[in-house]
Amino acid sequence: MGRFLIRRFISMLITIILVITFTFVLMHAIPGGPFTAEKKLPVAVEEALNERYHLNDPYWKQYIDYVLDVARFDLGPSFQYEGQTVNKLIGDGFPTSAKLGILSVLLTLCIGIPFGIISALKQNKWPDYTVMFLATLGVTIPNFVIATTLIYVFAVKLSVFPTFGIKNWQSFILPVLALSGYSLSFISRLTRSSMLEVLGQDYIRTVRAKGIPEYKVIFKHALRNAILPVVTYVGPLIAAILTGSFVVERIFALPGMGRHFVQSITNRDYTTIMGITIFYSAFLIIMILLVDLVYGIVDPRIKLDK
Amino acid sequence: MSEKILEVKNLKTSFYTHLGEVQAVRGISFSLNKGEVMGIVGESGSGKSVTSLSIMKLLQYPGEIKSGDIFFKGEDIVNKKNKEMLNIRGNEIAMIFQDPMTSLNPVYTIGDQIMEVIIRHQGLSKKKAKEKAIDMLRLVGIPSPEERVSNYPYEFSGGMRQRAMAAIALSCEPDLLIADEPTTALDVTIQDQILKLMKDLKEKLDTSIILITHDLGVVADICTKIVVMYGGLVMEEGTSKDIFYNPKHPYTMGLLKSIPRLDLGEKKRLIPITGTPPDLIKPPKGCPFTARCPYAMKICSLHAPKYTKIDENHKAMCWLLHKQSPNMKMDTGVKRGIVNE
Repeated sequence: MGRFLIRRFISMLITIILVITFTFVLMHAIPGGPFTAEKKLPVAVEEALNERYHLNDPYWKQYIDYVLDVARFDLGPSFQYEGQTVNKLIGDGFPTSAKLGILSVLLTLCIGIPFGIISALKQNKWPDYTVMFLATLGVTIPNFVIATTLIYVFAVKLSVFPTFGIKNWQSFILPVLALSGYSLSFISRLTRSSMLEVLGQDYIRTVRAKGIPEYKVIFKHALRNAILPVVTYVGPLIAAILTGSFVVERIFALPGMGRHFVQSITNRDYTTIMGITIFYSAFLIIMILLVDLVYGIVDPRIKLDK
Repeated sequence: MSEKILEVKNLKTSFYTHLGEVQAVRGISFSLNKGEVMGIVGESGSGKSVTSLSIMKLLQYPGEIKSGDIFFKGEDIVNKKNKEMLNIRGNEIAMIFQDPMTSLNPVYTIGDQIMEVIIRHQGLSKKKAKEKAIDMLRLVGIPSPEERVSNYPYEFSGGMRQRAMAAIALSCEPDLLIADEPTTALDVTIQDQILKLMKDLKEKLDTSIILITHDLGVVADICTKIVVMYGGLVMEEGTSKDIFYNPKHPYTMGLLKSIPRLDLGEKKRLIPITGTPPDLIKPPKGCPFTARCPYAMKICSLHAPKYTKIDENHKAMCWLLHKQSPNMKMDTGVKRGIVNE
């Protein structure tokens, strides 16, 4: 186990360095810079700004300085927001996004997996048709449509939930629903198909032939085998959802970090682009590592040390 | 006469698919005495496995027992509720399946899977159940069972997995053991070991056994009684002696002729039964074997023959046994049959 973790840690570092390099190159390949605006700044001012943010340094020096800063967990100052560091931007936005994200992931798991199981057990009967119909809608309807529909129905017409911002616990309900619509539906479908496959296996027949009650057949024997594909999907899902959604946070006017993904690029806010990308990649890599660890627990055939 | 452990009467089992009703078992009857080993022989699709799943009441949707009775220890289990069946399955009737590679849950240890059935039916504590699981593994011939008990199925070979399956099936000392092609997926040397194991266990535990197979060679020296199935019906039933030395049904003869033999010289070819089994969505009106039978007569395709009793234990379903039928010279396959006495 220890050797596995050390090896994984090294490969994670390499991945992060590659991500930094690619993002750095791509970022500088797009025309314009952080201080290019429609209204041209006086040359002297622009020069001064470039000088202050070390943009006049050769690229290789900028790159090395940046990597060294990252190694000290310093993502640099934001070019767009006066006096703000990227660390602070993420620190301000992430808690909100993460709160929404955790709730969405919980909802996805607590509803998606049971629905998938019910669907598989009642294959080709009405509960299955109902769940699969809803799941198809959830997968196909984009989240901005879900979000605006939810606002229209529950906030505007019925006025049971607030339309925007975060004031109390009710404010979370609509964004969480909009955020988890896709993943919830996807997990239901995934659980259903995986469960159906497992229930048709010979070893399930063996368990039934032992006289084991059906609930144990399902939850002890079938689910543990059927859950692997779901675990695979949930890892990256957590990284994606917890770092916020541009669309949903925009629609509900939530101060999360989702907007930075899009806005930093439009603004050529170099340090924020880099910072956000690194944050997301690191998060994703850690989640994938966790997925692998969970694999080893769920399925003894998967050996991490080899 | 010893007591009857199992009696199947006119059992019909169908699968209701969207193509129509597949009549997998179309009215079979047989009985099994305590301590007896019965072979059910027939090719794929003859209804052997469906018969065994019907007895266990483990048919999965869309399969259903259509009619008939199954008396187990004198009680009809066809109408028993699932709750009652849960106490019978694995406890009084146990089953070993065909493919040991896929019949054990890959994510639990062998020990867990044996202990589960012991705890379920005998209510032993975990510790006691583990001791019993180790004893069972020893009984079925797994070396160093104390260590092997915490192995996962993937750490066992095919033959060992089938032994583990036997340990699961026998751990509650069932009255009836149904082994559905227990050796089909194994290579010959392991086949032999598993059959020996079953014979030993039968003697030690006095379990009645139904051995289902498509290979007459397998049932030859273990079974006291053989049922030959075809097209969802029992074609012939008798003691092993009857079946091997005095077969009356052309299908039984065909099976005998297709057993590979070493002592017949290299030049002798096996004689296959040509053709394919009947479509059980629209089963033939007459004898299901008509289309493949070398001795078929006109009446065979028109009416299903009744059973003709040859003696107390031996009966067959064939028009050739009718007193008005012509006397045909038939290659019974007996000379090729297994001589194991």
